[in-house]
Amino acid sequence: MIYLDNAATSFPKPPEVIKEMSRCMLEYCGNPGRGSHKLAFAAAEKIYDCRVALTDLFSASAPENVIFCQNATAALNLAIQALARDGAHFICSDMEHNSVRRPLEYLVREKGGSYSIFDSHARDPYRSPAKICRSIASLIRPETVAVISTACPNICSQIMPLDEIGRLCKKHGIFFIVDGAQGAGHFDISMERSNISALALPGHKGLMGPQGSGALIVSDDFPARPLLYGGSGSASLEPNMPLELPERLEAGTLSTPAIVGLEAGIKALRGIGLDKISSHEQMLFSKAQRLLSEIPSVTVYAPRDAGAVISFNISGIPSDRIANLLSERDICVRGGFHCNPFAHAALGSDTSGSVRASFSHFNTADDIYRLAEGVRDIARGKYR
Amino acid sequence: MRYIAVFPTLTLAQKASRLLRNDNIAAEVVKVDSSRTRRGCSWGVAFDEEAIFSVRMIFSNKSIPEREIIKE
Repeated sequence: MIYLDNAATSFPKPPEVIKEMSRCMLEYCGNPGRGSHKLAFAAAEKIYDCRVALTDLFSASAPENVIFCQNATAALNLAIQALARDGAHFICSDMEHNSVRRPLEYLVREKGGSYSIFDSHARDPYRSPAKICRSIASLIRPETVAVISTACPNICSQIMPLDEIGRLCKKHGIFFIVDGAQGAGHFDISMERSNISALALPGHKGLMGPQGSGALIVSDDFPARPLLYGGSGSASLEPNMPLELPERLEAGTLSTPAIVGLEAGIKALRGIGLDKISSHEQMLFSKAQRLLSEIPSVTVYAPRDAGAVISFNISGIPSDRIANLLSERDICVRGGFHCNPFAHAALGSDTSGSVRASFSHFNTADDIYRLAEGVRDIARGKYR
Repeated sequence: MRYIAVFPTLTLAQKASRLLRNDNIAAEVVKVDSSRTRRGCSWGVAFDEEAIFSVRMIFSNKSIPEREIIKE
């Protein structure tokens, strides 16, 4: 089996992740932050370890600013809705996933908000951070509360200029929300350096943790407005959620097995080294880009970029059909629109969708040769 | 005898306890007896009485917001 769907969820997971999750379930899976017995404290300490690991990895300001969520979508909803008020205006990129678009559409429909879309110049050979920032600056209004940008879209490897966008946001006194779904664990993201106000993370993609883990990390000045209300393990006689982070935004029992798995994933990632992961994925991308581009009738989208995701189509064959045919060869890729109509429109694949192959540290050059061989056969009609 | 620095949340108590341990002060996260707080369940960090001046200084230097320090 060749797994090239790491942008959906990474696979395989490092053995340390499975081992720690099993150990948790067998030895210490009490309810963290509730009781005062040994299992509850053991679970709570492991959860705090994960807060520290995320703080260090993303240069965040403090472990208490790490709010655990079930996934990046939950984290993005928490961040976006924290800023929702009458007339609030958001600016997002033309590469945003539905996890950004749909919460924004909800705000427009239900809360009287609005949003504008900035041009990331995906198909512009002269794209530059300055050009992207000019496109954002032209949309800023007095009522703008935040810029939202993906660190890297989920259908191509266009890394966004987070440092420059962050500087622009700081200059204009607006918040900067980053969707780290495809960037985290693939390249360095620093909240401090990029002036990020809220960073949404899935635990189960580049961070190598299990599904069900994720986090929102916020800056000290980001407003903490709960979406969920309930037990917090503290201030329990009071009718409202505690004022302090992270408990204010973490109603209900946390998923201890998922969070300890995430911490083990981060440890594994740091053991390999982010630079090594980045350069390995770029090597895989370059091979895939070269081999796929050589096949007549194949279009590769955003071929200038280099990262963990590549998208392509074969002329005349629907992308889902291609993905199914590759699956018959035990090659796992994803066809369709990838929950991202904005990015497909920006890349010119809005009527067809695309086939996406997405890499991890565990893929090899041989995986890419097998992918290209499969695509070549399909393009020749071997499977039709 | 030990004192307990009381915190509004468990996470802040954990943060405080690790700071103290980094300074070689024996510190243990504890659940504070609910009858001694007005807000219901609370968390604290227990430490020996001889460390109280160092503890206050560390919390002050690191802007750690303990609610109060009580006798265990």
